[in-house]
Amino acid sequence: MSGPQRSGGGMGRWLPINGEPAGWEPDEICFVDDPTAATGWGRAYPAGFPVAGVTGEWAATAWAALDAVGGAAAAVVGAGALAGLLRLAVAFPADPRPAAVIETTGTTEGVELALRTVAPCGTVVLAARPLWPTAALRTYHDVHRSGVRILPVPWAPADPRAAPLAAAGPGPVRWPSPIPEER
Amino acid sequence: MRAVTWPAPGVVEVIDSPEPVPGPGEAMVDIAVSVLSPGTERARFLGLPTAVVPFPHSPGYLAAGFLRGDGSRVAVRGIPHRAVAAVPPGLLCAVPGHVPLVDAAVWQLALTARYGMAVGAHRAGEPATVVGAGLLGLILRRLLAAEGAPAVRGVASSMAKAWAAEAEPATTFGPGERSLLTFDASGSAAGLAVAVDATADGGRIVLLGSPRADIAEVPLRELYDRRIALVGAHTVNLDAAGVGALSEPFFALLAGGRFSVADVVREYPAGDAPALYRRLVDDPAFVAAALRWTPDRAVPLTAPLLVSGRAAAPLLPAPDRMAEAPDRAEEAPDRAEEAPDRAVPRAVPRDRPVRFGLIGCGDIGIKDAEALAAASGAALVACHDPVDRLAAEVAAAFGARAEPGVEALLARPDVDAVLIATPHDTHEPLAVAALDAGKHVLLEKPLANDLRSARRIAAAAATAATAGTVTSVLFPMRTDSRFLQAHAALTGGLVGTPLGVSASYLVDKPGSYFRSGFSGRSPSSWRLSRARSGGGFLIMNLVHQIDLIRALLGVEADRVFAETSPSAAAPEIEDVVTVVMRFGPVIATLVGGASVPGADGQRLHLWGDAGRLEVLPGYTLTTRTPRPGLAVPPDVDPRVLAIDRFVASIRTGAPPDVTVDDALAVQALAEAAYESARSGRAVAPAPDGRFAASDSRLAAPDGRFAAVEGP
Repeated sequence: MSGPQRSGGGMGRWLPINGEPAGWEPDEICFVDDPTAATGWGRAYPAGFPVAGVTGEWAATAWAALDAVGGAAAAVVGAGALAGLLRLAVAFPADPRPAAVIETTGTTEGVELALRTVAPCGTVVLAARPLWPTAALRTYHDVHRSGVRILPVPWAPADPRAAPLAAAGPGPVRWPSPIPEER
Repeated sequence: MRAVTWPAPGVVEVIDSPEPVPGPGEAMVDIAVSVLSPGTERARFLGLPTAVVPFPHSPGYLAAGFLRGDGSRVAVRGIPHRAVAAVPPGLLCAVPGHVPLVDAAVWQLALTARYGMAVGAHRAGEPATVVGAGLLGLILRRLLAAEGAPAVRGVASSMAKAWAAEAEPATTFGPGERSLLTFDASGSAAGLAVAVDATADGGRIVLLGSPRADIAEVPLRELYDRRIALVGAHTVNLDAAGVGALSEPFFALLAGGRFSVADVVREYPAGDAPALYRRLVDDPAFVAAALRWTPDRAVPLTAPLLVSGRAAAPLLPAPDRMAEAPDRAEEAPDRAEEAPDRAVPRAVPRDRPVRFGLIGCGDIGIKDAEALAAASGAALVACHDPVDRLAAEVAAAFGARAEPGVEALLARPDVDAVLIATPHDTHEPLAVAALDAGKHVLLEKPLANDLRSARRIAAAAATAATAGTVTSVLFPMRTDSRFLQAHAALTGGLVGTPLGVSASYLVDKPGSYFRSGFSGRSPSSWRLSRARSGGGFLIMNLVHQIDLIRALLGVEADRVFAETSPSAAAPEIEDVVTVVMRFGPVIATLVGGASVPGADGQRLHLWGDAGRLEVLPGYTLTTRTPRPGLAVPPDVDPRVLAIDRFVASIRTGAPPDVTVDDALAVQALAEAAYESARSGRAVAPAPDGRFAASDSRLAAPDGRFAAVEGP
């Protein structure tokens, strides 16, 4: 996995996590989306950045993903904070193959699962930055022939509309800081 | 009935088989033409991934023909290559009588393209990029242009198929700006990465062609970081209503003459199918072909034959009204409001001259006006120039009427032909507009400012020629008595086997020439602009000698080497030019210069193993052994004679002295010389004068320049 990247809005920057976050600076604090996942992602913020602001960005990104599916019922792939926020707000699909699936893990496996789950001519929203530059996908069967749309949603800055969601939902988990005790 | 079958992978046969028995609701169709779909059929023929079919297999799905019973013309999809088909109603669509069946036959691919455009939310007038240069990519480019896309960028793994874009003014191949909308019609796993690279941030990519791989490496992170959406578009997801909604505008384009593939889909007898499939596999330049099963019972043309692809004009008057045309034409100045005839030229009665409109009234335009006035078979009745003063001068001097715009001139029913004497970059739009208007066209040399534009003019002229329109290019030296004598001497064997040509063209153009011509009447900087003129002394002047040499020898050049040096007037155009051309065993050397003190004009010698011709400045023949001379043609102003002979071509239907193919070959030679001067290497043009290149350069058969190692 390559190093951290600023992508989209918000104050933080992406960090890949493979056991632990990679590439964060000593004066940064790190928040992890799914601490139970061996491979996942987080975001690094300047030291002192308020936790409420961090949660606000998670919620705003969830809000943006919901906007991308037009408020329709959608399945959610992932078990982290972003997925948790989405599940609080999204309408659960009645169909085992819904018209929309929101992917939050950034992994190839997650994207594959989203593509296999979504209905033909449906939409897969990428709410998390892919952890690897490329992914080997069955584009003919799962995208071309299925008529599926893959829609990236960039990380969002805090959004007042998402404030109730931020207040209600689980937030990301702060990763233990590497800052020395004497600081 | 005959049918194509693949008994085994890589094997093709044309067999006799029983006619199908129609099921309930199915109609019997006698297939006239079926089109090979190179992408899908090649993949299936080779057994590529995602294209595995059981054998024996009946290939094909694009066709058009005639309904049994009433003989009405129909497009058919989903039917394999065969002479007779039983077709369900949903796979049939009526085709207007004047639409070529080969155009209608690509209905399924047009459906695929239009579905992609709908899924990609293409907005009318939005530019786009198409990855993949096969038949689907070509159809998509042309449909995008028909929907007003001002620019369509083509991207392909090689330039071998780019020649098929010559008739697409909106298309450019190669590097360019990223677009917000990209279509991947490449059928290649690598095409997606190319499509991502071609798409602007925030854009969208439509997967249109069936990729020949189960798995593709998708640059997901780049898609995410650059906010690019990716969407698949396969017609399997279209219902009957969707098919209808997307098909209707396609057939409207066909009916309006705004879409065609006839310039790239060549027809072959159905029995040639095995050879065609071999080409499909081996020839990277192969775009498409059609199998002809029965002759086309086309309805005689009564609808506009539009060469430009622009919106259809009203239908022509019925034949009985055509006979009234001469009388109406005499009254034309008072009946300008009458709807003009379009597209098919009027017959010109023998009791009156062919009436010309002159477009461009600068220095050369004045010469042309003088020649039109002197020609016995022509009359100048209209003129136009963007500078009103210039048109007024011509009108006053020659009794024509100055028109305020080109459209007004072309709309005049009393104009049978136009003579275009304008800057080189305006030749294409003016010639095409005139051909669309059903006027015969005589263009001042060169054909265009570059080879791409010249090819498009040639394509338009070829289409218009099917309706009897004559197009030619004015190289006055072709009707000069010195050329005529030299040509007669050569063809009479008086110089023996030609061996060499030595020519020079030296003038001393004043600096003011580049800004206002020799007379200063028409100020303009077009002569200083390479983009507008195509170059300097070579394309402005030496083309006369290149045409002469080619016409004298009667063969095409197979190698060109050139050197140029820039003009002091403008560095982007050349002043001094040296060109060496090899025409088989004959070596021709030309030298030209625009700023030569005491310049002595044109000189041209041609010699063989039995004699020598001095053609310019004066004609003489010197032979090793005494020979009787030839009759000397009367000394007639060559420009006047050229116009009279053009008029004769209009009346008789005989080919003009200078065909568009001749002018195209000269243009290609000039372009080869420019490329040679740029690269420092000799360049081999294509032998038939029509070059398989998408840009202004010449190409060897594989689509790239055949740079030839020098001696």
